[in-house]
Amino acid sequence: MAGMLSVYGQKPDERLTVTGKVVDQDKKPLPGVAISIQEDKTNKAVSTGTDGTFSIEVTSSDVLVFKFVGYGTILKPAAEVIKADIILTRSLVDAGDDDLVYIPFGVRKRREVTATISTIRAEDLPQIPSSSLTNVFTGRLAGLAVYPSGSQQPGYDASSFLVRGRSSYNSNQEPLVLVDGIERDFTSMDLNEIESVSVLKDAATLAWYGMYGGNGVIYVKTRRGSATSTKVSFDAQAGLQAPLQITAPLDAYSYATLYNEASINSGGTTVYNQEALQAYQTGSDPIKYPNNNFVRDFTKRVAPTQRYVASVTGGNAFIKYYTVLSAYQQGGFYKGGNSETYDANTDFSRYNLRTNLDLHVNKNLDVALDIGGRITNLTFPNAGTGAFLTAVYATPANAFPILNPNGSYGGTSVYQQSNPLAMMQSRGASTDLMRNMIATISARQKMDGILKGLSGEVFYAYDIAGLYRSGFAETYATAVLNADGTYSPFGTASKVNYQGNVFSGNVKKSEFWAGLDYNRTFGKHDIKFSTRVSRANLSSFGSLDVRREGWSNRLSYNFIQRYFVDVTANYSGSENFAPGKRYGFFPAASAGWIISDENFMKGSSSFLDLLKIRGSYGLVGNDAIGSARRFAFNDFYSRSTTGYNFGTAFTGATGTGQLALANPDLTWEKAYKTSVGFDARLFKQSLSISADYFYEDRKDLTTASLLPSLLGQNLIYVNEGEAEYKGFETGVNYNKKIGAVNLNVFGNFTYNVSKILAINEGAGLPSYQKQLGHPISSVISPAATATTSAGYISTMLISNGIFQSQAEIDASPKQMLSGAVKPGDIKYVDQNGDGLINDLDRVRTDFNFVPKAFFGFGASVSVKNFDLNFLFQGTSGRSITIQNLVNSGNANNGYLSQFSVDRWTPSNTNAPYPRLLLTDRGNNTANSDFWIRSGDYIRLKNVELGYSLSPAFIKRLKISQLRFYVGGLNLLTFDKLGDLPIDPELPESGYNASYPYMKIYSLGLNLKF
Amino acid sequence: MKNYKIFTAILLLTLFSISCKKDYLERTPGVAISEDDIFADPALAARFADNAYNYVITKYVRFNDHRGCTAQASDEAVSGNSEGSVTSLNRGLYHDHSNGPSLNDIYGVWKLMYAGIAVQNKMLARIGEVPPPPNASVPIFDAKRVEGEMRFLRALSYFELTKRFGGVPIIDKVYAVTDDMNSIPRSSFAQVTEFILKDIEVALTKLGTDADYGASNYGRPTLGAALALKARVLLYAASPINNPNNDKTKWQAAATAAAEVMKGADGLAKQTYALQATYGDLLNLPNSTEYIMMRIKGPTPLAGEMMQDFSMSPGSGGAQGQMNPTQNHVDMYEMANGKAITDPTSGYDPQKPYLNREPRFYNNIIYNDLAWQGRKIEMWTTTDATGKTVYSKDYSTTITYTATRYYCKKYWPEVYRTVGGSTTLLNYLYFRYGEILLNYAEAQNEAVGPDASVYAQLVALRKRAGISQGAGTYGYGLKDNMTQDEMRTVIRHERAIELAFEDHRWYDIMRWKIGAQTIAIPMKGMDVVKNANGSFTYTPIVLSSTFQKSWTEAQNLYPIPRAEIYKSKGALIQNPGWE
Repeated sequence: MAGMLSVYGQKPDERLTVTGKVVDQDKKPLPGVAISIQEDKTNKAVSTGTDGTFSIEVTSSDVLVFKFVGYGTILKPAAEVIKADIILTRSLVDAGDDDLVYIPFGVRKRREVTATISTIRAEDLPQIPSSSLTNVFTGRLAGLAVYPSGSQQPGYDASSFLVRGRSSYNSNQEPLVLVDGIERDFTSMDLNEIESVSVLKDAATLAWYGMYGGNGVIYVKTRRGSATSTKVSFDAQAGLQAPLQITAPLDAYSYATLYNEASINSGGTTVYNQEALQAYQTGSDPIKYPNNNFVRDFTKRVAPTQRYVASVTGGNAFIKYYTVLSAYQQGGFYKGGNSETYDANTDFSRYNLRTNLDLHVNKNLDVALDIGGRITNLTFPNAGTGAFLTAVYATPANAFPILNPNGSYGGTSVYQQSNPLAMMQSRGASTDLMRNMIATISARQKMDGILKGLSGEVFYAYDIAGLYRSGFAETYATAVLNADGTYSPFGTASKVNYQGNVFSGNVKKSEFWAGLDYNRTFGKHDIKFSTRVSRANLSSFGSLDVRREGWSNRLSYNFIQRYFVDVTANYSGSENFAPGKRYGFFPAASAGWIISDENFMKGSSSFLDLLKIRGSYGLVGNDAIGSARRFAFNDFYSRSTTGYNFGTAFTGATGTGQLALANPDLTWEKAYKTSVGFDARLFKQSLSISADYFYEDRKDLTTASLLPSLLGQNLIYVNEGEAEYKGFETGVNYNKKIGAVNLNVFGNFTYNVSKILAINEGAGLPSYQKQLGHPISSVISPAATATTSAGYISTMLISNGIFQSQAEIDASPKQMLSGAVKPGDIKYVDQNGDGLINDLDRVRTDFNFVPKAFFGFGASVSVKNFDLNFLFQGTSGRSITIQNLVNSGNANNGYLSQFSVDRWTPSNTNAPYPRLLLTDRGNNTANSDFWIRSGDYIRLKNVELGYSLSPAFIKRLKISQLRFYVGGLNLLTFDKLGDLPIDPELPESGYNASYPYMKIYSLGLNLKF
Repeated sequence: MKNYKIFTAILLLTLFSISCKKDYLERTPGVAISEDDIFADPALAARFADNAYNYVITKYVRFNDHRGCTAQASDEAVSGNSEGSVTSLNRGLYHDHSNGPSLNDIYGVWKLMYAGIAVQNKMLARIGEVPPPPNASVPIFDAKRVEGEMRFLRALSYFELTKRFGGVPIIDKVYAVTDDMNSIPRSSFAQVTEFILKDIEVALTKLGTDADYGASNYGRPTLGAALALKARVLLYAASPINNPNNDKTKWQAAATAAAEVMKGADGLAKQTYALQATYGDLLNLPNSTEYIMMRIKGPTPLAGEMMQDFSMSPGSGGAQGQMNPTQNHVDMYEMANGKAITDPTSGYDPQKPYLNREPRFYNNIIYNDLAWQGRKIEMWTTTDATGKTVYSKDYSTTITYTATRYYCKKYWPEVYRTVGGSTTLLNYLYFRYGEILLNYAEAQNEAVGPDASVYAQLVALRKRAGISQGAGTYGYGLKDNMTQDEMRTVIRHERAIELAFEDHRWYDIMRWKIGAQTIAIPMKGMDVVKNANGSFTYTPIVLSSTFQKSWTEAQNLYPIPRAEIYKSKGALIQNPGWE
């Protein structure tokens, strides 16, 4: 401190003109070097002339910043500039100021990295007013698949990640998501909090996390303050979201006609007579013969969304800071109801606050303090999102009038509580308030006094989150108008009241890392060594806190910045395993060679700037072994089981029961990862290419025990499974300035296949039902909703068209799936040749919701004041099933939907779907490949067009940038579904009980001071 | 600069302390209870024993939780919405049924029974370790009673297995995960029956009476229950499926066992049972002299459970209305005078089919135009002035309505309605005295022929039912001097009516091997048309193919669950016809 004050505090604010000369390391003058003043409000800047000289007016306390592409940036106090030439050192390729790659508890120049890491910088991403950040990362990074995996309701829009491929059939292999090194949610961060996102894909980096890194790591780095300038930035965006696909319900007439047909097909008679059919068409009696369109009446075509972000960054040699505050709001797309007390339309708002501080306490001690908070507010109807949407999508148009003549809500004995209007205005609304607080403090102490290059670091993070639900509760009654003019009521109405408040989901998480770093260069040798001990603790009420512990070490060595070797090893433990079998050792080694620097490659230096070959091999673990209970290595007894009733007073007796049998030998999944690839830069670094081949063999997968039921108990799991994946990934980036046009074209492609190498299956399974040897594959049906998780199907019948005649049925194997098989029913293949179609004819298929290949490509172009960037993203080799869509519905609505129109009839024998039935539908609702469709698509994921006002104009307004932009998300989709009106990515969204998947049009402005 | 040394010292100290504290992951596993904790605590041990009751069959409507029952597999009823777990039995797709949802009657029961047997074996193995409880008027843990209960439950579990699968593997001790159980073969039916009887003999030395146990323990097995189980086990052992040579000593043993229960307080049961005066509320009483053992069902929600989801007509607020008795079953009810409707002198009028039937018909069946919960049941169709079909409140072609024009009153007592009612009760009867009388009659008739003691049991049941006495030595519609074959037919018929919907008929059909005559015949319903003058026209009809059932002789036994056959690698031999 004292030293610093003596530098900066001598003669405050004495004005002077500084002149000097900038040269390179060979003492040659450098023209065009940009020189600015740190922390300058006037944005004064000059450039060196052809002889490398410059002249600038400053005050004596200013610090000058010298910046030139391809050279290291230098900061120098103005007072020192006068004395000598400023020497800028040329950076090696991929070793410049901006070529930083963040690895766990370390940073490297890109050149030095021997692992496979893909990074995207947030400044290259479009600003989208979307509640989930995943929308802007989809398709941006090679080897990272991002796919929506749950309800798309505001505040939920759950997404899943997959790094490279699948090698575990027990889970979807969610990677570890780390924000600044700590496991934290990143999808609900604001984009402006983020500096970069990296995917760590191979053992070279993942081994640092040992037992927890097996599925890959997504490493998010938040923005930090800059010592070179103070910037205030403000973004405001407004957008409109519109469903990509949504149910188009049948009108009353079509519904009644189809119902009659289904009834006759099922051996019944017509249910709706001519008079009714006519009334539906003419709308003559909307009470007795209603013709509702609930989708039209209760959903909006577009819903608003908005986002505001303000950030301030700046600093000096002592302190650097970055502060961001954002507010985001996404309106729901329900409409039609109105309660004076509450608004039941779903609504989501979020506020993010973050401040990152770096303190340079003295020349040996640096302290960083990050504090952030997040508040989310999610409102939804008390009837439940699923129940409301089901009522809107699937209630027949003629079920009941929304309102009866006497003003009561319409209902029938079948649809007693399905009135969407009542759900919106007389059923209550809840609000989930989620509050998060995160804090990280770290300190780094240089220890050159002990050993030159040695430093120590401690790092501690403390996060808390709590969920609080409150709202209004209410119930409603419906009634049906009888023929005699009386009303029959259903349900009981209650007056609106406060809802019992609920606290839930309160968690506390702390994590501690401490250790030493040793970085030193001895002539041509460069050594970097890091070691850390870590402990993490996750507490939630009602259970024992979860703990983790590990020791991570990494040694990097390079010789003349050309030959690189890294060794990473971790020793970590998991409480999931028995004492003595708790800790594992996870080593990995990697190497890189800059082959382009070799003399024998000099001939290609005209076009080849860099060629690096690298490879890694190592072991990483995964202790998340499926849904096994905690401490599954020990036998436990439950305290109470459901009571059996004794006595004459209906009192239940509680019992104590044994839980699933322990497996004391339970162990973690072991992923042996191999990765080989290269990085190349060509044509004056305008083109860069990276490619990797990868292979992972995962052993000790948990699989079912093959114990007989005679034991009377299930063994929890055994580690007898094995699976692998392999494939390749590549990323290309091309940058070029052509006149006034700045062009950047980029793309990435990943291909992977998996294979099951060992799994415990029933020994007598016919070969065509075995999973062994197949890829890890399944299709999703039904889709996940806000409250239920997805179902996965992998065995199904193989269809052979639709039966066209009784003769064809008689000549075919007997189909046992329903009582009667008639023309118009799906025909199946008899796999085992026993003349019967039953469960034994199901086949293990390779239809997969995980694509074989996923890719993204796009470009950004700027011309003068305009800039445009877009991204196409897509998948190939992916399957979806529409069984749950076409056969949606229930007995009440006769299983009729918009798809029923395309059913088989004697006069429409070429129909895509089988005949309609009210009963005995087993034959046509069985899972089969009849319902499989391609899930491939290419989508214009996002696009943004911007216009910046000319600097000359805005300078007068004392602002440095003003940019307007329009953009969008999911604007265009190309798929192989023909005219099937569903989304290839999320087939059930907008149908059944699912919130639609949205496209977003947005408009925004960005202001920088 | 001294502070980096301080800092270094702190850092090294921290690292040192972390490295030394080896037990960061070593923790008492929370609040979980270990096996030794259980048997060291009389209260927990008693709970462990009580938990064994969760592994016996405790309700009638149990397929797919509460959506199907064995009555729908048999000729008693059909499943109105063709519930998959029922249709898989109807179509003989037993392997599919085995994979069906819980609690299916093949794999579901197999797993449940062996899970229970594991609990019973463990309790029996460790019963001696439970320390004596502190003095209390009612002991927390009564070792003697618990042993009797475990023996009884184990016998019951094996009986449930033999009645479905024939001989099964006998597991009589605690096995560990590491033991090779895959090589345990099936024991023969006779061996398992012998094992069951041995357990019952032990139970008879340990159990007490209802009076011994007191009201709060009503529903626990008593001496009477053990004897009733023995009577049923021996009856099944003597039945055609297990007694192909018709060995009369087996029937005699069954008759003797049933007679032992009938001795009442003078016999081994040490308490007297008697027929409940009212047949109609047999499933809805907190206790009864007829109950030998029952499970009282605690208050169960009406909605989302059996009552609304399964039994009730949509016209009364039911969601599914899928428990639909067949015309086949309805036609079995005699007239109030005890004569079959096929008897020309019975007074049966096909156009007034519900007039003057025997009282048990009115206790078991809900039919068209029945006065019900303040209104009339309407299961008719009519044609309006313009010639269009109009459906009534309780019937339409939608699958949520009855397929046969009947609902089941035994499963839907009149007190349960959606308005004003939210919970329901319905007992599960393991054994009732009425069954014992029928068991005795059947066994005695087979062993020695239709003697007076056989007639006496039928008279008792028919008298209680409310059939008028009429003429004849025995009366109540019973022909005098029946042959053994005639009497067999009468007893089987009586059993079908008296024990209707009580989980007996389906297994009776299997043990009597009469599926070809009862299942593989057309399943019928009733067509009801309301005429312009308000009268009804009744026409029995054959139900659509959806509700028809198939039968092969292989169905007299269920297949061993296929997955278990695979796992055993040849040790378990499949039942004939199911390979």
